[in-house]
Amino acid sequence: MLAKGALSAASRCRLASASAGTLRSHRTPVLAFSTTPVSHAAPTAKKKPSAGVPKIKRGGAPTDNDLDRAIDKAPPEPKPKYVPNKNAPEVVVGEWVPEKATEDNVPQVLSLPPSFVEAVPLDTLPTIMMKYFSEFKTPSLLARKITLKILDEVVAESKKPVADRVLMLDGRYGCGKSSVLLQSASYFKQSGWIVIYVPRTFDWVCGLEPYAPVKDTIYYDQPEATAKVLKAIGRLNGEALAEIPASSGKGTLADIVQQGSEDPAVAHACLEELFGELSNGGADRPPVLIAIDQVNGLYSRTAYRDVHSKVITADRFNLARSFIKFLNGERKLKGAVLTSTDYTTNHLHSPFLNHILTSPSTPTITIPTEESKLPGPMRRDFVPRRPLKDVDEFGVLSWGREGEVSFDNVLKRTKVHPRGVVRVEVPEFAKEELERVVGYWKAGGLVPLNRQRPGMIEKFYMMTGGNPYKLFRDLLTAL
Amino acid sequence: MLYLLGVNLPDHKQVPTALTHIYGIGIHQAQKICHKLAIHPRCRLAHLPEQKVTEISQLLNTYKIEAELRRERSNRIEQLVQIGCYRGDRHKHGYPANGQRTRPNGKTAKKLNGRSLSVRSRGFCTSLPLASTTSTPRVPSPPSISSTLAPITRLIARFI
Repeated sequence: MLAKGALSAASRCRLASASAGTLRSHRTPVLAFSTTPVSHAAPTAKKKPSAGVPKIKRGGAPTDNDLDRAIDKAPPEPKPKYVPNKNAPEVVVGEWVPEKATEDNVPQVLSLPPSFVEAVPLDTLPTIMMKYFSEFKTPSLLARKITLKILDEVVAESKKPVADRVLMLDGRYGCGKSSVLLQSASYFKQSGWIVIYVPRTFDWVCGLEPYAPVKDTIYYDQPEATAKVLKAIGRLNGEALAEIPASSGKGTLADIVQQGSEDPAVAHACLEELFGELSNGGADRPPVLIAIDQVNGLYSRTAYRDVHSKVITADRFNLARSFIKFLNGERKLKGAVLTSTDYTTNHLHSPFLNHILTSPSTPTITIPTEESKLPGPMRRDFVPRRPLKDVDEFGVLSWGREGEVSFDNVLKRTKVHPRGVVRVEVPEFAKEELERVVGYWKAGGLVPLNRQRPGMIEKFYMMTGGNPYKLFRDLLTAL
Repeated sequence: MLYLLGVNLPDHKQVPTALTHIYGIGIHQAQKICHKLAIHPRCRLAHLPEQKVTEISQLLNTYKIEAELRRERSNRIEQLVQIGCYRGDRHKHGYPANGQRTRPNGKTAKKLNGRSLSVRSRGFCTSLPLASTTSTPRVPSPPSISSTLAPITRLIARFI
C-alpha cells in the first residue's frame, strides 16, 4: 500500500512525460531568473607578461637580444628620498628658536628654522624622520619636557673645563630620540655653537660606501663617506669655522673642511686635523656639540668583509674611529657629546652597547612623569639589568640575550669603549603631548575623518602607549 | 654592458651578482672576489673604477672559467665514456648518472646529459639520425640457405 499522498510508479512516469517538454536541456544552461539562455562567459584574456627586466640565462654569454632588452630595462635613476607634501594644508606654527625653549612653550609643535633645514638636508636624516617630514609642508617637531632637560644637561656639560660625560638618548623605538637630538642640534646651532651633527651612521656600515684597507694597518678608510661628512660639517658650520684660524697656518678651519670635501684622498687627514683643532679649542672659541644619531652603528658589525671574508666591525674604520675618540675620552672637548641610539634596524645591532645601557652601573637620567604609564610592549632587545657574567650560579654559560654580549668582538677592545656614559631615558608621549601633536596632525590632514571622534586621544593613547611612531604609522595606513 | 673575458656583464647589477654571469663563478665565489679586492657589497658594476675592473680581470684569469671549464667538464665525461664505466654509459645514453630513478622522471637528464660528448663517443643513440654517424653504411649480407628455407620449415611444422 502506498502512503497517503505518494505517487504510484505509473503516475510518476506520466508526470515526467508531461513535463518533458518544459524540462530545460542540460546543454543550454538557463538561469532561474532569466528567460533567455546565457552564453558561457568569455574566457579571461591571458595576461600579457609583465614588462620587466628579462632574466638573462646564467652560465653562458647572453645573446644580443637579451643584452638589448637588459639595456632598455635598466632600473631608472633613484628618485630623491625627501619630497615635501605640497598638497598638505598649511599649518601655522611657531619656530623653534632658543627663546621658545622654556617651560611655558612645552608641549608645543614648533617648526625647524629654515636656515637649519637648508644646512641639514632632510634626505640625510633617519628614514622614519624623513617619512614623517614628507607628509607635511614644513618640518615641525613637538617641543617636550625631555628636550628642555637635555638642553640643560648639555649646557651644564659645556660649563666644565672638559666634557667628561657621553649623554646617550635611549628608549623604545619610535619614542622620539632622533627628534630630540635634531631639536638639540638646531637649538645649539642657533645659540652660536659649532655643531657636528651626524644623522646616520647606517650609511657607513651597510656597504654603500667604497672602502679600502690602509697599508700596514688593520684599519680601513672610507674616503668618499669622509668627504660627505666634511661637506655636511662645512654646510652647517661654514661661517663659524671660517673665523677660526688653523694652528698649522694653512688658512682657517673652513679651508681644511673644503679641501677634504673636494678631495676624498685627503678627506680623512683633513677630518683628523679639524677634530684635533676643535678639541684644542681655547676659551675664545665657541663650544662644540658632537651630536651623533644611530650611535650603536659605531659599535656594530658592518656589511664589509676583509680579504679573508671575515666581518669587519665598525671600529676598524677610520671614519668611525674619528668619532669614537670623542666617546672614549681620547680627544678632549670643550662642549658636550650627545648621542642617540636607533633600534629600527638590525644592521645597527650592538650587543656591547645594549649591555652598557642596561647595566646598573650606568647612571640614568629620567624626567618625572605626571601620570602612570600604561604597560607597553617590551623593547625588542630588552636585557635584564644584571651584571655581565659568563656563567650563572649553576655554572651554566649565560645564553640568550644576556650571553650575546660575550660573543661581541668589541667587548675585547677596551680602548674603543665609551667612557662616562650617562643614559637619558626618553619616554613616550604623555597624554597632553599626544593631544598637541594629534591636533597638529589633524590640521595637517593626517587624521582621517572616521577617526576623529570624541575620546580619540584616549583611544590613541591606549592603542599605542603614547608611542608617536606607532600612531603615525597607524594613521598613515588608515588614510 | 661591461665586456670582460668574453662575457657581457650587466652594468646596472651589483658586482657580486654581475660576476655570476660568468660560467664557473657562483655567488660565493663572486663575493670572495669582492672581499679580496675590497669592493663594497652594494657597488654597481657601472660605478666600478677602471683599476678595479683590471684587478677583477687579473684575478679571474687565475680561475678556471668559461671555455676552459667547459672543456675540462667535457673531457671528464668523455673519459668516463671511454673507460666504459656505468656513469659513462649513462652519459652516453642521456640517462641520469647519479642513481636517480628513470621510471617517473629523467627528462632533465635526457636533455642535458651527453651534450658535451663528441659524436663518436655517443655510439648508438636514438636521438641522432644515422646519417650523422661517421661510420660506413651497413651492406646487407647475401641470403643463406637456412634463411631461404626458414618459411618452408615453419609451414611444415604447422601441419605436423
